[in-house]
Amino acid sequence: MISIKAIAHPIQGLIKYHGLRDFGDRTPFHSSISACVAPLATEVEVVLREGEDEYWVDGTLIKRGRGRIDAVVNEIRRLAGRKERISVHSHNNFPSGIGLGSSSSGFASLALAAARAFDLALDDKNLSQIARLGSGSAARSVTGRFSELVAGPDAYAYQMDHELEMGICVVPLVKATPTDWAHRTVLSSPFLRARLAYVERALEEMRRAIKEADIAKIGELAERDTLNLHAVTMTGAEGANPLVSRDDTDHGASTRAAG
Amino acid sequence: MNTYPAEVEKVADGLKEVYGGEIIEGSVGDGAKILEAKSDSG
Repeated sequence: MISIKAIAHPIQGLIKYHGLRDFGDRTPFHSSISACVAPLATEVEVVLREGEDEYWVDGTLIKRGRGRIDAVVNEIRRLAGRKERISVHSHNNFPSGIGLGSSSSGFASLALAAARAFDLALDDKNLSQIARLGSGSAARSVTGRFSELVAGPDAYAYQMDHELEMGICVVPLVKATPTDWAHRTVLSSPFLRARLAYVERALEEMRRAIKEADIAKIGELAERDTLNLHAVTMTGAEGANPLVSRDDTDHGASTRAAG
Repeated sequence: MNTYPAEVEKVADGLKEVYGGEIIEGSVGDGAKILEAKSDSG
């Protein structure tokens, strides 16, 4: 029996993205930058087996909506030239579905564990491209720390050059925006074109801030980018907008964005 | 390397006052890695 366990940390976007140029390959319109958030983590165990592929997430067998998991597993199997089926058990040590990025750490650890199970030797760039088939942010979770996802037909991630050790505080909120909804709705926003014009300079400023370990600048740029992204995501035409919601406290409207 | 542990604690305390709930204190994490690899014929 072959059994491989891998771990990855979820990412939090600093220069985020919503909107996919190609939903099949999950290639984004523009590049993006993020930081991996420890101690949040997803552990994935992949076991080779006979029969059918079987996917479990936090103890629940996934029966519907397996397309993105299949995309990652099938690509690894194709590259390895193997035919065996696998069982996948994925466990998060943090709540999923509230914008903390469980899909990034889940698909990153799945890609790594499955590649090792099938004896497929991949460098970080190639592994990030396969993880991206599950989730664009998973590419950056593969490479870790401060990483950039470079847009293009073969979008890939790399770890940025830096000497920065930054503390992170996470405030778990109850509601978040479903990422695929956000990817669809921005396509009809009149502001998407303006974001694409703005974002190249924002990326350059963020690269410099990370390289210079300028935490104040990183925070300022991330806040500005989040507001810019919200302006696009909140003005798309994909049905009722979950981005504007009333939270359970007395603090008024809350907005969240992943990516 | 630049480290800012005191600031993290201070920020977490401030956030706790505002939100009242759990605040997760963390750091920048590494990339994906293998935890365990087992292979047996049994």
